Order: sequence, then structure tokens, then C-alpha cells
Amino acid sequence: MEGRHVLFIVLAIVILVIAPMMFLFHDELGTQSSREVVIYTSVDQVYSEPVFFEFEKRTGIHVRALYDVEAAKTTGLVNRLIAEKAHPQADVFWSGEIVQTMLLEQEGVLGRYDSPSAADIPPQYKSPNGSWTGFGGRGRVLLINTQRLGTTPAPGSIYDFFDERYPAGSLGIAYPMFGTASTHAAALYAVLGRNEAQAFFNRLSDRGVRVVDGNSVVRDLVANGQLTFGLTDTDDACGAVERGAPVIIVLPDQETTGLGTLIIPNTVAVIAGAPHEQEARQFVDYLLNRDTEAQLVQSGWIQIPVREGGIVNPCMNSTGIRMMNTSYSEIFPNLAQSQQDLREIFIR
Amino acid sequence: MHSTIHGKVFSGRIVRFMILLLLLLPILLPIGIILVLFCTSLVRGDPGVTTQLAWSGRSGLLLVKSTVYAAVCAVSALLIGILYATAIPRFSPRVSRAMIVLIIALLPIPPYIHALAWNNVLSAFNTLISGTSYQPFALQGWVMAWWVQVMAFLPFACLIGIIALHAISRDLIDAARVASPDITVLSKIMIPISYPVLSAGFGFLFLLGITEYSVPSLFSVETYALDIFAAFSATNAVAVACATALPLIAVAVCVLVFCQPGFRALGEFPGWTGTGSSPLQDWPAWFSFLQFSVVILIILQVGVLVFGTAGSMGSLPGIGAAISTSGREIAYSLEIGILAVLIGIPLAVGIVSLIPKGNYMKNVFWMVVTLSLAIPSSLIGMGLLTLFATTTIGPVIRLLLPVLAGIVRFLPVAIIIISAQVHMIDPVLMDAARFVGDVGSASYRRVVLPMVAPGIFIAAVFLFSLTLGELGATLLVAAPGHQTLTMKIYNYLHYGSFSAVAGLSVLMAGITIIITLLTLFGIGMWIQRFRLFGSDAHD
Repeated sequence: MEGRHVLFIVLAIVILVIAPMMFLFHDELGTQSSREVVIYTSVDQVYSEPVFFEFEKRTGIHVRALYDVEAAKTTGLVNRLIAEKAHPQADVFWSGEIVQTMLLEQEGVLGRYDSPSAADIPPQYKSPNGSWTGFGGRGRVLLINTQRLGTTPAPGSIYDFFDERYPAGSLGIAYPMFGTASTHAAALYAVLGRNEAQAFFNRLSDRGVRVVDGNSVVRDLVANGQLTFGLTDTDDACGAVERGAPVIIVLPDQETTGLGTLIIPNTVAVIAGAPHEQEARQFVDYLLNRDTEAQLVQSGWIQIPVREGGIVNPCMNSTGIRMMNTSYSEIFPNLAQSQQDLREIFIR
Repeated sequence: MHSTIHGKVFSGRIVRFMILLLLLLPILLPIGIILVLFCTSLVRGDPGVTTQLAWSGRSGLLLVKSTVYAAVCAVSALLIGILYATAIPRFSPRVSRAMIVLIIALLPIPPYIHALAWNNVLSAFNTLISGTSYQPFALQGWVMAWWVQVMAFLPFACLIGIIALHAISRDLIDAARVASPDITVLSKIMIPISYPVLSAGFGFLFLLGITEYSVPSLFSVETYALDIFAAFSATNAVAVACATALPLIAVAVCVLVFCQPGFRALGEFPGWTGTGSSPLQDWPAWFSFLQFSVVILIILQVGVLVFGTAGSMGSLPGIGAAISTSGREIAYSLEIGILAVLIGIPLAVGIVSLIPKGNYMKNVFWMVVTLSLAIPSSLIGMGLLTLFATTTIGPVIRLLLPVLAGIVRFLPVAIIIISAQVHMIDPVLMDAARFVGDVGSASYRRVVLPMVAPGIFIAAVFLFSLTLGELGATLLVAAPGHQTLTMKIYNYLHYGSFSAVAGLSVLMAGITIIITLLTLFGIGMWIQRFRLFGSDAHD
């Protein structure tokens, strides 16, 4: 073989094989800064990514984020964290809800950290042993398409899913085994008791209420007029309002005799044995900062700030909300049972 | 001596078989590992697995809906593809070539870009008619999911139609036209003869439609493939997901078996260069109407892609911001695609060179090679995760997992294309090459390599583009902080944030189209340079 052929082959190998691999793996080969933090988050990428960019800009710490998909909201990440418990890959878990975080606490996945940024957060939003901290909440609301509703009175309670004035095929909920819908189901178990809560969901299923694979799907179907109303989160509902859809948001069961509205806070926690603990704590401090909470309210992810006064929600009035008469520590023990029961009702 | 020769031949076959098995390991291992996990759990009587195996009305109905959906999408696309293929000869040679190049350029565009484009165009249309009495288009549901899936399948379906009809002997067509009108020649002679290729096209589109959930999920349509992903997310148990997937795999494997002759025909008896364009011109009015409708539909599709993505991009600074904040995803996606080609193409070439002789063994070979097409993408991701348990592998191997995901899923396509190219080589030329020098000699390489190269380049483009757009397996195996562009666009689209990803989608489409057109141009130059497949080569 001629020398120039050998040279050509060697050059081709360098260019085609080694160069892309060097580029691909330059972080792991240590040619860049090694300060990084790995964050598993169930918060929609649209909202969480700007927070990560801002944190990177301020601290120089590289954020490696792992997002989840709508159909597996939170549950997929939680199971992954439990599977990785012996060899944690993540440093921080940022969830858009609370009950799955409490599950991780129970499994011993979370470390302990009392962030100075959380000093002004009310105690009911913090873990008693410092495993997690809650901030900025979303509410479970009814999103109603006014065009499709017409002259029929607007619903005001989750029990209006059984009202014959609203055809069952025009009503929707997200699968109550995942994400905030799962938390809401566990809350109903806590407030109503297992039997009554099971009966509630059985009746939903028997009636033929549409069950779809996420809160954003409920939002889209209501906004597009394919559903009259649905049960979703305030961030999805406000998104539809902002896009000019013909919808209104109703906080359900606000009467004095009603169940109240479930408020679900975001939660953040440092993972036990996190590979980058210092950086993890820095990120938690940043996330729990009042300014970051205000930023998330402005971006539309949070509608109900946990801090008193000062942070205005452009989408809806978040003051004076009558919350469900239960605590998160009462909701959590009902999670597993509710998920099991609901899997039987809605998947099998 | 006789027994020595037999012994050498036999041991040579064993060596070839072992090497072939080794090369097929990347495809077979992830599938094998999930089957082993499932069988182990089943034998142990794992309650999670046995519960999943219990049939339910909801699961059954969902499987039926998903199967019908995939079949309808595949058939719809193929019908349009056949009409397009019959329409091409109606135009001048220059326009006909442009119509074929257009289809090839559209091939690598990922399905979610079609979803974004159609959603934006129909939303704009709904806004236009909002003050009128006309009903707005429903932007969710089965109809929308079907339409977008068909649009995404169209380029491939048109290519299959072109290949199928162009591979038929001109003499046969001319003879048939003496006695029958063109429409009868098409329906009673050409379609039946090209049935194997058409069935392979149907099989590939059906399997893509039933094993993927990305397009239906963007239109709020629940499919069985998404249930499999949800089952894994809810339990983190591969065996449970496998139990959930079994009915779908059974359906997919049945279709795979049914279409096997077609896949084999595509790979071994291609005749892709054919004998020139079809002479059929004399169509009835209704058929001509259908042909022109299809051509207009393709042009409309191009228009929708351009205006539906570019139209929602917003301001230039906004586009710039979207692209600059996605630099990591863009770079990572390109790296994944390039590595899939660098690893996958040599594998495919090696596998093709070891295709067994003998009809029965060839049938087995093609069945094994195409098996991964029948496995849901999320299950392949689970297999890779299990094989390379994240807690024990190093970060470098972890980063390679999306590359492996692309190879496992789409290596069959590369193998079929390269095999077809190899089988198009005139055996006389191969004998001449051997006469000039041994296999492996420079002379041999100067004869064989130029003839195989076009197929290798086309296979590389397919593997690159399909890997770039792969979602189901990549979602599971991608490491934190290493998101592909497809994952990011899908996450944003699923949220409904279309304008944020329009610029990225245009960039993605642009990259794939440019690479495809450059490859086509390069192949054209290559064919001219070595005078392949044209009249010069056969005079």
C-alpha cells in the first residue's frame, strides 16, 4: 500500500472517528470545568430550563438536567431515583408536586439540608427532618370552555363530573395514577376515606369521563373545544388563558361546606450521597430564593406562592383560597393504596 | 482429501456463522436480555408480571385501535405513494427527476416536525375562520394523528412506490399493453408483480406506526406503545413492561413474518435501477384526477412544512436565542448521528458480506435481522439500560447508549439497502475483479468498492436521519444533561410550546435535507465518475 494511502486512511480515522468522540466526551475527559450539578426534574422543561440557564450564568456551575415525559410524570423519575439509591447519579430532585418527594424521603433517597433561603417559607411546606422544602404551589382547578358550556351554569365542584347537564364524553381528567392527579387522588382518599374515594373514581370511570395521559392534554382538549371542562393544574389552565383560548378557571369546592381546593407545592431536595453535594446545595439555595419564586410566578409555572405578600400572580387571584382540609403528611400514606386501586379501575 | 475439503468447508461455515452472530449481537442482545428478564420473572411468579398478563377489555381495545391506526396509516401512505409513482412519467424527464429528488429530500424529516407544521397551519386556518359559521379543525384526536402520521410516512411510501413500479421489466409492460388498457395493466400485472416490495413497504410503515408513540401522543391519542412506556415508568420493572408489550409484539411479529418475503425481495432482488420510467400514460379521467391530486398534496406538504415551521419562528433574535440555548442538544444530536453511522455502517457491511447461502438460512437471516423493527422502541431502551446498568458503567459508555439505540432500531434498514446494492452488482464484473486479483487486493477494491459505495452512502444517510429522529428508546437511555434535539423539541411540543421550537425544527429539517441532497449529489458524481448503472456500464 502506498504511503499516501496510509496517510489518507489515518487522517480519515482521526477526522471521522476520534474527533467526534473527543467532542462528544470532552466533558468526561475533563477538558472543561468539572463544577456541575445533576438535577432530575419533573417540572416542564419550558419552565425549568430558564431557571437552569440563569443559575449557570450566575454561578458557573454546569447544570445537567434530566426531564421526564408527560405520560410518566414524576413517577418515572422517582422510580429511577429509588433504583439508583445505592449509587446516586442525581444531586437534586426538583418536583412539581410533593407526595412523590415524600415517597423518596420514606425510601431514604433524600439527604438533609436546611437552606437559608427557606427561612421565610411557612413550616407546613418543609419536611420536619429537613429532607425537602416546598415552595410555590399549583392548584387543582376546573378549566372550562365557555363556548362549549354555552348557557349551562359553570361547574363549581369535582362532583359536577357526575352532573347529567354535562355529557360524560365532554369531561376529562388526567390519569390519576401519575403526577399531581395522583396527589389529588391520594388527597381525596385522605379526606373521604378509601371506600368513598374509590366509589368516586369508579363512578367517573363508569360514567365514561375521558381519561387522558396528562394535565396538559386536558388543557388542550378543553382549549380546543373538545371538552367542556376538565380537571387540571393552574399552570396548564393559565397557559390556556394566556393563549387566548375561550376558557375560565374555577377553584373547585370553595363553599364553606365544600371539600376545598388542593394546593400542591413544588418541592426540592438534595439526594443522599449526591456526587456534587456543594453544588447541589447552591442550586437549592438559588431555587428557594424569593426572587426565583417570583420569577417562576411570572413565567407561569407557579400560581400560588407560599410566601406572604409581594408576589403577584398575573393569571389568577391566589389570595384567600380555601384549601382542602388535610395535610400532606395525611395525604402521603394514602398514595400507594390509591395508585393501586386506580390502576385497577383505569388501566386493567 | 474429500473429507478434508468437506471439513474445511464446514469449519469455514462455522467461522462465518460465528462472525455473523457476533456482528448481530448489538441487535440481539438488548432484545434477548428483556426476554430473559421477563421469562425469569414469569417462572418466579412475579405478581406484577402475572397481573399484567391478565387480559382486560381496555387493553384489548387499545391494542385493536393501535393496530388499526398503524395499518390505516401504512395503507393510506402506500396508496398515495403508488399514485405518485404512476404520476411521475406524465411529466418531462427534468420534472420527473425533480419529483424523485423532492421525495428523497423529504425522507429524513422527523415526524414531529410534520406535527408542528400541520398544527401551526391548521391553527392559523382556524383563526381565519373563527368569525364564520364553519367548524374549526379539531387539532387533537385520531384524525389529526392519522393525517400527520401519513404525511410523515409519505416520502418513504412514494419511494417504495417508485422502486416497486420501476423494477418491473419494460418488455413485460409493453406486452401487456398490447392486450389491455393501462389501468388494467397496472392493477392486474404491475401491482401483483411488485407485491413483495409493496408488502415490505407496508410492513415497515406498519411496524413504525405501531411501535412508536411520538406522533399520536402529540395529538392526545393514546396508543398501546405509550402504555408500555407508562407501565415501566410506574413500576421501573422491565419484566412488567415486557408483559404489557407481549400482545403488541405478537401482532408486530405476525406482520413481520407476513412481510418477510418483501423484505428479502428488497434486499436481494431489488432491480431498483429498473429499465427506466414506466410507459403507462393512458389513464382514465378519474385516475388522472387522483394522480394530480396526489402531486398537489405533495406540493402542499412541502408548503406546509415551510410555512408551518418558518411561519411560527417569530423574530430573528428569538430564533437566534432558541438555537444558541440549544447548542448542546444540537451538537450532541449530530455526534450521536455520526457515531451511529461510523459504528453501524461497518457492522451492516460485515453482516451483508456474511449473508448465508441456502433459501432456508436466508429466510432465518432476514427474520433475525429485521426482528428489532417489531420491538417497541421503549422496550429497546429498557433492554439497553438493563444491559449497561447505569450504576456500573462509566460515563463514556453511558453517552454511547443513544447511539446503540439508533443502531439497534435502524440497522435493519441499512442492511437492506447495502444488501440491495451488493445484489445489483453484475456478477460478471465480480468475476472479473476476482480474475484481476484476490478479494482484498487493491484491484478488487477498485472494482467492487465503487459499485457498493452508493448503497453505503444511502444507508449512512438513512441511519443518520433515523437515529437523529429516534425518541422512544433515547428518552430512556439518554444521560442527564445530554438531551438530543428530538427530545427537547418533543418535550416542548408536548407542552404546546410551538413557537419556541419552530426555529429548532427548521434547523433540524435543514440539516437532514442538506445532508441528503449532498449525498445524492455525491452519489450522482460517483456513478458518473465510475460509469455505473448507466448505458456506458452495460454496453
